[in-house]
Amino acid sequence: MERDILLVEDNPDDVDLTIMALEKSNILNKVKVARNGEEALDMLHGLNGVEPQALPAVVLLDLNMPKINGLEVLKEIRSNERTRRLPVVILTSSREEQDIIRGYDLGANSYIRKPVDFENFVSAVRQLGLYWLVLNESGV
Amino acid sequence: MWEPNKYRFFQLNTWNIVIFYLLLGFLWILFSDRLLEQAMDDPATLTQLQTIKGWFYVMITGVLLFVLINRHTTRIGRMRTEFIERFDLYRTLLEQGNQVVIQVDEHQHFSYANSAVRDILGYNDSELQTMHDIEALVHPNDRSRFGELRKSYDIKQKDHEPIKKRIRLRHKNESWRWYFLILTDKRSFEHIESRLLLVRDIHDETTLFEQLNEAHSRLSYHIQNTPLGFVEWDADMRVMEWSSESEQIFGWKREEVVGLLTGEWTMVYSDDAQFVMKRMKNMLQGKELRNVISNRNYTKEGDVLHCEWYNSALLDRDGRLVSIMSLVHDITKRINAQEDLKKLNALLEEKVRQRTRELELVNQELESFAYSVSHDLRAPLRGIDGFSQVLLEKYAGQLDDQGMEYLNRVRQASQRMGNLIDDILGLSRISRVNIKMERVDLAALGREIIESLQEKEPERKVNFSAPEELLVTGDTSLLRVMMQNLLENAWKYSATRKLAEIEIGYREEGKDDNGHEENGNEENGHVTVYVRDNGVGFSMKYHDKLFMPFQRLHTQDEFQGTGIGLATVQRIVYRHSGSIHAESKENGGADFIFKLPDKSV
Repeated sequence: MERDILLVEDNPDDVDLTIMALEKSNILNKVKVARNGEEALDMLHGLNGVEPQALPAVVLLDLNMPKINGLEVLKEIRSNERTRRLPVVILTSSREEQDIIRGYDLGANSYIRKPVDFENFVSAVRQLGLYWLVLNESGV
Repeated sequence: MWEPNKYRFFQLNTWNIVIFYLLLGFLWILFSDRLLEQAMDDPATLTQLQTIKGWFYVMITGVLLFVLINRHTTRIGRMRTEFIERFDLYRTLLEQGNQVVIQVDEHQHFSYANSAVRDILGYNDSELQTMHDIEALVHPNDRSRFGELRKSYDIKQKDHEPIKKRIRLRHKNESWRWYFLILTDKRSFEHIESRLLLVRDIHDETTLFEQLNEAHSRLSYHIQNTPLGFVEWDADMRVMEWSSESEQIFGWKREEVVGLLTGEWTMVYSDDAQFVMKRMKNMLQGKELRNVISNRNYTKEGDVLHCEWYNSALLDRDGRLVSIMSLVHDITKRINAQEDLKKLNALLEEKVRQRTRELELVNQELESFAYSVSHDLRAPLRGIDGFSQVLLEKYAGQLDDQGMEYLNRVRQASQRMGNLIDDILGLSRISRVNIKMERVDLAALGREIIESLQEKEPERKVNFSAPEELLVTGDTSLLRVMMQNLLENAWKYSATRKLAEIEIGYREEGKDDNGHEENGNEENGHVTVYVRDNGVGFSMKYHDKLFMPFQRLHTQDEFQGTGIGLATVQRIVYRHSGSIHAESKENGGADFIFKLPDKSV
């Protein structure tokens, strides 16, 4: 069975666009959406100590979010034994060097900047899906 | 001593003898013959006796004459020897002495000069005699003084004291020298027979004296005029000299302090007294000949001054201390200024720290602003573009062509805004990144950029020329952004040309439009580089708008762009402490000329 994709994104437009881009790229995995960092961590680590049954195939992580931002989520993911090897792709508007560097330092597997042009975005998402969902052998 | 009186006595004695002899002979003849005639009757015996008496008389007078003549001859001989000895002595003195002796005769002419004249005046005896006088040799300024002496050449004048004058004469070697002239009488048996002019060379001692005088007045001039106080102490540290500047500095008058011993007044600041005395003792004991002491002093009013004392010991020929001479420099103002400066510096540093903190804050704010621009402004744009695209794809059937066209416009506008945001961020990033200086070859960068532009637009015919190497010093990534912008511009604005010409190179010596001397290589460690194209150019009246962000000289229809490129270029050049300007005319191509550091790293 194909595993889920966890999309961590606070902007509903971006949620919809990402889902549409995934659809357009024929990536049919189920997309779970976390609206902020806290929610994402709950979904990964489980609420009230109850662990969820399966981990997603890949986490698409936005950086700039209220409460717990993307980099903090990434840090949490990497510090938890269960989620340590989970593929995390940072998918963000920011092209700031500091974000890229910190992202990789914290163990991001990829860093993709969302282009304004929707067609470019679709092609980026397609390549991303192809790599992480089809080609890559997951460590989890 | 040989005195003329002896001759006089000798002369008189001769006459006495003659008179005495005549008297005796007369009496002898008168009485002896008469007495014999009375005593003797026999004429024959009388004649015999008279003959014997005659012989006896002749014998006695003969003996007497012999004794007398012999005595005188011996005496004259002795006197002659004595005379010759003395004459030799005087002649030696005269000839060997370091004094010219000239005899001035009754015609006021030079009749004799000793041989010293050659050494002292340079002329020989006969030269001097043909001159008749030394008047021609006298220095113009000394003529009147010489005249007073010259008057007395005349021997008819009465007795007077020898006349003495210091006068400059022209030596035969044409130099002026100082001489001491004495005009005195030459007497012979109480008579003034002629005058003697004695000339002594006093040039060396006179000039020495003058130099000494000059040195002395120069020294006192300095002491009087120096802003330093002058104080002289004797070997007991008693004040000997106290200049007027010392009075100015310390307030004590000369007469108040001269003669005072150290213990009798207080001028050294109490805390410094011990170490000052220690240093001065070193001088008094001869351990130091010179020292500089910086200490505090009191004024007469009790104020505290910061002073620098330059002390030197004056020793006599045997190395004994004569006095200590001190120059005092009142450095109170300097010390105070230094302290003020220190305070000011501390204040400034504090201000700088404060400003830096403020700047850091502003920078942080700018950074978070840029971050949020980058992140938050682009997100809605993606929405606009994305959903427009979805509309175009999914709902194409429900829109007519016009509607489709409008949606495309929406997409174009949002994409353009995305580009604008990216460019603004790029511009702000240039101000924020740390520059790493290294050697960069702009020619290689240029070729690379042109190549990629050519790839994107293979149909364009562009002739790119660059030197093999174009080295500058700067940050590689920033310089790449700069060249990218400049060459993209050149590429873009020469698009209307059939064959576009783009050229980069060193700007050689010559003048730019502002009349500045430009030197391509090695100008104060800078190098001047140009980027030239044969494109549409621009009117120079807009040249000041060129480098301002969002200022464009062309419409989007003519040439696309955000108006950020040249602002970015300028900011990069400025960050390298360089300068940039452009030269162009409408439709006549454009030159962008910039100066960058050229130091080996």
